[in-house]
Amino acid sequence: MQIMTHLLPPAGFPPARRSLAATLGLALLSVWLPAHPLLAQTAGASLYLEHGCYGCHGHQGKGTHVEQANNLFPKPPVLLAGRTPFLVSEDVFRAYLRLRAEQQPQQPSVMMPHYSAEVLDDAEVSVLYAHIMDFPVDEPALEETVLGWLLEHAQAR
Amino acid sequence: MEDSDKSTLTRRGFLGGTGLAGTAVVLGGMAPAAVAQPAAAASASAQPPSAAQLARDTEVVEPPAVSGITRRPGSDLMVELLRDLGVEFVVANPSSSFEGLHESIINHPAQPNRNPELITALHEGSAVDMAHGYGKATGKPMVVMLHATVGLQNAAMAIYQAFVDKTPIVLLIGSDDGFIQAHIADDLAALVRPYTKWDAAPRTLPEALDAIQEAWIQAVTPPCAPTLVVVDSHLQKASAEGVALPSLRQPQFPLISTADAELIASRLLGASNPRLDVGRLRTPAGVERAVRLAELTGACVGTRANQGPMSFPQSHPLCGPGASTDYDFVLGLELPSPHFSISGPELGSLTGRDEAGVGFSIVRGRPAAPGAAERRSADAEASLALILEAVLAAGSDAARTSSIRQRSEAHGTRNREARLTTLRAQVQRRLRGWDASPVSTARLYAELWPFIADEDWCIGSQTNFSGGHHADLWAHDKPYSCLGSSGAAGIGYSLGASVGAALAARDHGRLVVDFQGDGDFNFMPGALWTAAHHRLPLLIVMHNNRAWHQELMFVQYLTGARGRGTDRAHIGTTLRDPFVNYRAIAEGYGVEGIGPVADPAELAAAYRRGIEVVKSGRPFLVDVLTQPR
Ligand SMILES: Cc1ncc(C[n+]2csc(CCOP(=O)(O)OP(=O)(O)O)c2C)c(N)n1
Ligand SMILES: [Mg+2]
Repeated sequence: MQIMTHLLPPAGFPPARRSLAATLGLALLSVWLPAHPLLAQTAGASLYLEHGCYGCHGHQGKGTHVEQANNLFPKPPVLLAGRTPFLVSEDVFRAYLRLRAEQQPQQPSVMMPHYSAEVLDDAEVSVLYAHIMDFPVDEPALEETVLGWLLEHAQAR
Repeated sequence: MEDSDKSTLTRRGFLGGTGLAGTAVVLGGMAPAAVAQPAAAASASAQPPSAAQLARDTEVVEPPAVSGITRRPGSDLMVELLRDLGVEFVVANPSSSFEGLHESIINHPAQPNRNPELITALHEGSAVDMAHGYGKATGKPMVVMLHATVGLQNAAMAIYQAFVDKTPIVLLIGSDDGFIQAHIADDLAALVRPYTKWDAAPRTLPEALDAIQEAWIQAVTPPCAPTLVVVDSHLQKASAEGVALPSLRQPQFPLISTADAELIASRLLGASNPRLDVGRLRTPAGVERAVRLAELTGACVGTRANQGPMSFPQSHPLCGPGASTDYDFVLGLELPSPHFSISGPELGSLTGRDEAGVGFSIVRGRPAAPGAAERRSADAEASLALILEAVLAAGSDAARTSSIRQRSEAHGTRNREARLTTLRAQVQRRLRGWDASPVSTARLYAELWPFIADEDWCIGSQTNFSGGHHADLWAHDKPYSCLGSSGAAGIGYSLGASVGAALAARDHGRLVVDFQGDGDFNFMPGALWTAAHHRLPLLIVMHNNRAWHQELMFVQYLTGARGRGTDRAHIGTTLRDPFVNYRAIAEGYGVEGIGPVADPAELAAAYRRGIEVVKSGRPFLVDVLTQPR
């Protein structure tokens, strides 16, 4: 399993606003220098981190288990292929990011920030989309986890 | 030896009164300049300490030439009174203004440093948080000693939270007018009066003893809250010869009338499907009464035990929706409603909970209950005793006994099914992100359960920042299983509160778990030392998302809404560059630790080690890198 010792950036890392080329370059560098654990492994992962997508959707898009918490409204969707309509295609994804910016920028009707082309250009959207679509969707079987034990323990009581 | 001027002070005139500032007694040897500062001068600006005063505070202590050194000081009597009131712990950061009390606690001939035992805190906010956690776990007040203006102000936010959270605490404020003038005030209590329930500044030893007892009574009488007594240092040092301990008075809890109790009993017994809905009672005795009432009447019960203290045990067979949700009489006991302590059909007029005397509506943003003045107030826990009596007095015939038994059995079966059905759905949802790194907050909770499920445990911290997964996954069966949130959503609470809960647990074979946000931790990490020093059974689980993540999300939203991109939202909201080494901090304070754990597969081993250490009577910290929520 990949362990992400999380949350960027290494010392001297420039502020995130930079070109895709630079992002790609840094990501390549990170592959080239795999010993550095703080760098996101790919350009997509890097964008996902820098733009704070993880903040509400989790580091692997699994959501944030906030159904019991009162901190986010509406609850952020799980970013897994097939689980949210905004991910049906890259066009829809881009349109969602942009529409929010161009149509109702100040309207907090949904909690998600919006992303104009100035802050996330089309090429970056493309890379980010690919990264999100790549999230692993598998879940272990209940019995393989302590959750299975938990259920059994309750049943035995 | 009182200064008669003092009685003319208005107690609302902190630093602005018209009398003399704290000139109750001039102790021999004190520089005359150090006393009798006119308050008018103080109101413009408190006087900075003189060189001589600073020297007394920072250099080799020159013993004050106290005229009345006595073998039987007033503070001995105060300590005996605390003992008689059942106070187990007094927590403080040491200060000369209560050195008399301090010395009496640790050296009282009959009970040196036991009942009460002196607990050492590294910050006054921690001290009050400890009392807050202890108060919620036990329903009993811990005493906090605070040093005059400075200590009290350090403690202020924590006092505020305990007040909002209706938790009993007795604050003893040391005051020494012979010394640093900036530490004294005409009216010390004014600093926190809007959010304490009752205060006094006694001028004689008998008055001080009465005031301490009254503070204790007021703290435990609903609405429970912090209360405060300014204990002038000369009263602590005065001779107790000829002064007797006051006779103990029982707190008077507001009760419903016998007629009301009979009405409730007859409704419960007459209903074919009665229900109790239980919020937060005051003490474990109240929980026992609620259990007894449910069992006697065959009522199914709703609980808040997975959200806060002193509610109905979740695994009790009667706890749950019951065999049918078609209830024909529902009795509410201390539900989260701001105004009602007991509620139910036809009970509207007798259930006002009188909060009018507390006077906190502005900060609380909540107007007093309409008509609160006319309604009689009643405490559910005390009134339960009357209701139980009325139920028992109503007697029972064979038909009723058998229908209650049948109903209870049907409830038991159905409630168990309901619990398991809910749990099945809840565990399924937690599989999401199970193997992810950083560790999912669900796994943070789930992996701990096998190690404590069959132990006596308590969650001392708030849990809402880390997902609160215990609420759905664990069974909360003790009055102290879950102590709930901080009161006023003030950050910095969890560690201190958990240490207080661990004090309540220490001598009972119980262990305490603290799900500890990293942002929250960094306010007053010194509470770790208290846990190590007093050998407390406390497991600290760091929910280390390396951020004040709640605030990150707010800033991030706003940057996006303003169209300026979210890529700088981490500035000022994250704990990066450098990362904080919690294990090293813990070890620095004498607490063993593991971490940071990034691989969820390593969590169980870390918990195993942690629980082993905690069960041996020492605190342990597991630093876990977590998903943000
Ligand atoms: C005394 C105080 N200061 C600041 C805040 C604002 N605040 C609310 S949540 C939060 C972040 C808490 O950080 P942490 O405990 O790490 O929880 P996280 O949100 O990261 O899960 C802050 C600073 C507050 N509520 N109380
Ligand atoms: Mg945090």
